Amino acid sequence: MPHDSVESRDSTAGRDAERLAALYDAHAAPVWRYVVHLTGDRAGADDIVQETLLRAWRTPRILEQDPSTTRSWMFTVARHLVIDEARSARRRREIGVAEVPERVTPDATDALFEAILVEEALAALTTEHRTVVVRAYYRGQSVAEMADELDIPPGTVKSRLHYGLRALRLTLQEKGVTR
Amino acid sequence: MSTDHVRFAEWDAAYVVRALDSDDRRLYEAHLDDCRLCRDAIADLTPVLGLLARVAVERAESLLDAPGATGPDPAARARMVARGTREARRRRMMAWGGGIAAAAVLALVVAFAVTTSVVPAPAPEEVVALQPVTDVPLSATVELTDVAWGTRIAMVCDYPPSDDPYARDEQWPYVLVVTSTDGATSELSTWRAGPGSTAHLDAGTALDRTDIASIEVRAVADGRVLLRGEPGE
Repeated sequence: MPHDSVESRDSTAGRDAERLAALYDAHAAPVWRYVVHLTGDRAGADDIVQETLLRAWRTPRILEQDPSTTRSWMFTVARHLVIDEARSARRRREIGVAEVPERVTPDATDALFEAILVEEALAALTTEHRTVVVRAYYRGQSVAEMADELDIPPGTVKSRLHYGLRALRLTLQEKGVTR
Repeated sequence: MSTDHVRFAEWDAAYVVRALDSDDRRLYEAHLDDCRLCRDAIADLTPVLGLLARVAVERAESLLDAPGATGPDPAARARMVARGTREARRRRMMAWGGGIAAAAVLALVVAFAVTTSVVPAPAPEEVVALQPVTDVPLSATVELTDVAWGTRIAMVCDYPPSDDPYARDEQWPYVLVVTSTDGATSELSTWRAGPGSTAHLDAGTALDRTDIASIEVRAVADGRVLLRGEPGE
């Protein structure tokens, strides 16, 4: 093989490596946290993160989206991988046992699914936004308490809540959960 | 609109989650009386609050980054980069050899052979009438049936007879495409159709029915989407 063609292939591989590393740096930590949140399994999360990122890498259409859409897509893929793995683990345990259909009332399923999508949207927020939204809504902390504990001005707390809830609303709209 | 809207523009979220102290709350409520923008902003956020209520407190708390929280294994980055680079190289080599096209044709043939050999078919769980995306004479209906290996897809595609005698013998190739909820597309079957023809296709996908986002009929010639349907609507 001519020398120049080897070189061009090497530089293509170099570009691939750069882009893969950038993809990893941008998304691996949040996806990892979300998977650990779902499974509680830190060691197993690394494999799911790798598979999720590589699926994005194989899907140029997804990489062209803006980062928050890409992130939200990755969370969905990671959740599917977690569910698939749980199912196949259950199947391995239940070999020889007749399949019992799971009967869940449609209402309960919808509510559960909605809860999963809201968790996913919360996980997709930036750390700053998620911190104030969870502290204010679920812990019932006031602006003053958060300002004190996070060591930021009260105006910043209000602003982060404002943009955080708006980002959340946008993600939920994209997922079709709300208008 | 109130002139001091700028001062209060970012207070809406803190107000709806009841995080404002009593002085701030009184100020904001007085402002709300004469600020349409802030009232609209609050109305926008109300559905989000209802959705937040769906998540249990301890689930939400576990999304907060614990102090000193660990992240992914530091070695995972290099592993992922190595695997991705390897895969990309392999993909390029396949594309060079035209391997992808050959593999796709083979996959189609195999998929077709496998799916058509599985009989008999139980009643379909769902019937979806594909909707025209552009102005086309074609109409198609797909029946989706849950099976152990994924979802069986049976399609009937009608091309109405034409009055134009010259059009009668013309046929064009079409392809049935399934997109999964995570965005991956796969081509299931191709066929030719012209005026007065009805095609019956049996195809299948490894996706579960609930993982199918859309089913499309596309023109092979230019990849244009002609008909489209979404299960579960």
